[in-house]
Amino acid sequence: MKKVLIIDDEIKLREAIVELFSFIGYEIVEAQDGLEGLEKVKLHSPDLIICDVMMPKLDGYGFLKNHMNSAQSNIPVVLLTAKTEEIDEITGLNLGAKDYIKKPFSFQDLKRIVEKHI
Amino acid sequence: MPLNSIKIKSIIKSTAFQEECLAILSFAAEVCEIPKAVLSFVENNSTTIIAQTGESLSITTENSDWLNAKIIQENETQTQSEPTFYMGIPIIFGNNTTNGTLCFWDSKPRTINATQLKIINHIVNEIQRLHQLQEQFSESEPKELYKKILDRLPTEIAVFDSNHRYLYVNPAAIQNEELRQYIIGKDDFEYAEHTGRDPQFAQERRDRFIEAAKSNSVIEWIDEIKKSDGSTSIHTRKYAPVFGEDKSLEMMVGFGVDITAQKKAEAALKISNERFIYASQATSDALWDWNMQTDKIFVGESYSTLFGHQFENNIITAAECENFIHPEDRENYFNHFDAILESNSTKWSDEYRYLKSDGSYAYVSDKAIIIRDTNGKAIRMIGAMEDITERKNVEEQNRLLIEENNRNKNIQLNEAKNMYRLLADNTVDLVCLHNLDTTFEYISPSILKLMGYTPEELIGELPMNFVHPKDLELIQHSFTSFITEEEDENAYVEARFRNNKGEYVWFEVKARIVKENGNPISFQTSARNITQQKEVQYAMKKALAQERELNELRTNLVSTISHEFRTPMTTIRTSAELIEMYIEGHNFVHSAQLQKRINTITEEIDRIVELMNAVLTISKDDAGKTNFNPTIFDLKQICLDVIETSYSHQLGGRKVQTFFEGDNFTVFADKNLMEYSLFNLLNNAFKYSEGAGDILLNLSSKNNEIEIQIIDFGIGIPEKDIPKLFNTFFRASNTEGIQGTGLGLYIVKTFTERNSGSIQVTSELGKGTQVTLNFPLLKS
Repeated sequence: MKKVLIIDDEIKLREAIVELFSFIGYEIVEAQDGLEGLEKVKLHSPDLIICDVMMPKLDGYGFLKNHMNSAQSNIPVVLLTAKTEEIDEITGLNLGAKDYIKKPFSFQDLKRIVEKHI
Repeated sequence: MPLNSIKIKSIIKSTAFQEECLAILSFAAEVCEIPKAVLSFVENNSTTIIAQTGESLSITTENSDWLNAKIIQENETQTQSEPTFYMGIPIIFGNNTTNGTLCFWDSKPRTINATQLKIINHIVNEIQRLHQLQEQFSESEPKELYKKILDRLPTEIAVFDSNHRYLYVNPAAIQNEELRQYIIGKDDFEYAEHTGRDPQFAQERRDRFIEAAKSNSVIEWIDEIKKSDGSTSIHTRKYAPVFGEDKSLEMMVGFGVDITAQKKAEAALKISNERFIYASQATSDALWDWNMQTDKIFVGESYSTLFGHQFENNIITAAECENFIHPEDRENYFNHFDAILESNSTKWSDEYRYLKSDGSYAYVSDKAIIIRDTNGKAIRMIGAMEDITERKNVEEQNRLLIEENNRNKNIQLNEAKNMYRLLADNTVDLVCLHNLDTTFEYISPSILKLMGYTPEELIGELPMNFVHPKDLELIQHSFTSFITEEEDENAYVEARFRNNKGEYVWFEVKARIVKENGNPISFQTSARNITQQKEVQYAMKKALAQERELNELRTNLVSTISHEFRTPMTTIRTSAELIEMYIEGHNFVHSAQLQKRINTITEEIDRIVELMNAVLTISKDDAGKTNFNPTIFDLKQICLDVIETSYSHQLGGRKVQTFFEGDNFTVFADKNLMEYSLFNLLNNAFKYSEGAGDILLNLSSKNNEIEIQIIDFGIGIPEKDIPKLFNTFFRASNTEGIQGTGLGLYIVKTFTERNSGSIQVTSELGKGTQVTLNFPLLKS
């Protein structure tokens, strides 16, 4: 069973996403900020990481930087972004994200992207 | 014998002779015991006592004269023994003539013995010898002296006896010594014969001699003598008779002066004076010739004509002349005159007022040359006085006219100044006059109202001392360029100045250079309080900044909202989808209704997000935050990319058909904005033509333009709505039920125009819509 790490400070959205992925049949690991995310990556070695950009403690970009310098940098990261600026997406891609999903997204969008990178 | 007589008298009268005689008499009287002895000189019945002894016994003049006369008459000794004693002895002074007596007197009878007589005779001899000694002495000393003097006198002197025979001639009269020796004792007739001269002159002199002797006065005449060399010498001659005490002619003294040179000079002077007179007649100027040694001034004829004064022989003294100078001009005249005279100058000139005989004054211009002797002393001045009264009057009139003119000008100027001052004094603006070092020279009284200072407080102060520190540099820079740049005589500056309360007031200052003869002498400023304007400006600036801030805040707000809304929107949308998934495959009573509600939720969420995106785009653009980075790119490629990315998998197999005409589709524009516009238009085309076939995209490059046509065959747009299509939040009346924000075309138009393009929409209701974009072609 493929393991997906969801890093998002919004509990409700995290819950919804967890529910969605359980429909598809993925093992879900959750983290509520970048720092916890980094720990969970070490702990669970997921197959895919879905990471929000705007977070307390360590944001998505900060997480990306750390992750890309870690031993597990091969694990793909997809950014969840609420920003509409193209520059934000480019920044994320430049930092090593495999892809991004704009909020709000449809289940179909999410499913397609996850399947693309897992 | 007149000369002897003079000689004897002079000896007898001499003190030395008299004292000597008294000593001899006293000795004799004492030895002979005779109380009184008197020695007298007798001439023409008059007796002169030379010496006498015995003051106690006085002899009457009558007795004395009687005895003396008797002695002279008898020429021998007279003696009486009783009742009283006397003895009178004749004395010979000079040449064998009894002209003196020695008389002894006693008041009682007495006789003279032989011894006594011997002594008396001895005394007589002594006296006579003494006289002879004196005579020799007097002859040897003064005679030599007189002779020496006379011999050296330049004046010709001859002394004649009463018969006109030469007694003495000095060398000035006759140079030849032999002739001089010869002539003594001769007369002029003998002299003429001796020298071979015409005896005419001898007769003339004889006549003059007789005339002088008769008239008892000095006579004078001029004598011309023809010399052997043919020239003529001219002499003045004088005969001065000398009479004896008996009124008879004793001798004649003749004087002569050679005046040949003088006469020649006089003749020359006469000619020169004649010339002077002629010259003075020829000119209207009064010529004058001042002999400074005699102080006499000879003036020309015109002098009298000009000034009316008449003088005998046209001669005036310097003192008289000076009195005619106007009293007010005298000091200047003399100062100037004395200065010139003390210098080496040979020229003098002056202008002064000169009194005329009618009491009025004439203005004269007086010019002269100064003749100086070898020591530089001025001895003569020759000049000309010109009457310049008329000229002076004209000058005076001109001066008065000019004065009057100037006065009028001054009055006008003062009036103008007063007007200006009046204006300056009453203006609400500040008017100042500055010296070139910027210090205040004048300040209008409005300063009090404007700044609280009095003008007096500030005069002499530097304006810079009142300038706000922040404006100091500006003012100094402005002033420097204002002063140094010649063509720009006006300057304008806005600055803050400190008032008397220490607050700063904004002034608009205009400066202007004041020039005199092209040179800057001062500058003038006018200043207006613009604090209020500045406050308004400030308020406006602040408002603008506030607006900008608000705008930014709005943009930020929109941005924040759109961002913050996205997460809950996502949660809602995902939740709706989860519900949809949960009910899927389950048959609820209201499954169809639930499904519809879930669709509505997701659709409305998508609409809100679309709206948020559009608002965010517009808000960013309003805030000038839209990125605009034009580049050169191929428009055909962009169209193909957009179609490939977004419209290759449309529902119902609908697609975009493309048609290209031309080879070059290069534009200079912002790629993102272009993509946004194309995406938006294609989106609309699909959205409003559901079930109406494909969309057409025609791209043609013609002349200088590239044209894009996006054509659909959908619902079309009512004609009345077409003009409002590009307004914000406007949606055509027939779009109900079709999702949209009413902002898309507004954004497309804005972005197209930013890319130097234009947009037109043509549509037919129920038939379809054609949107045309035009962009300038960039030729390679």
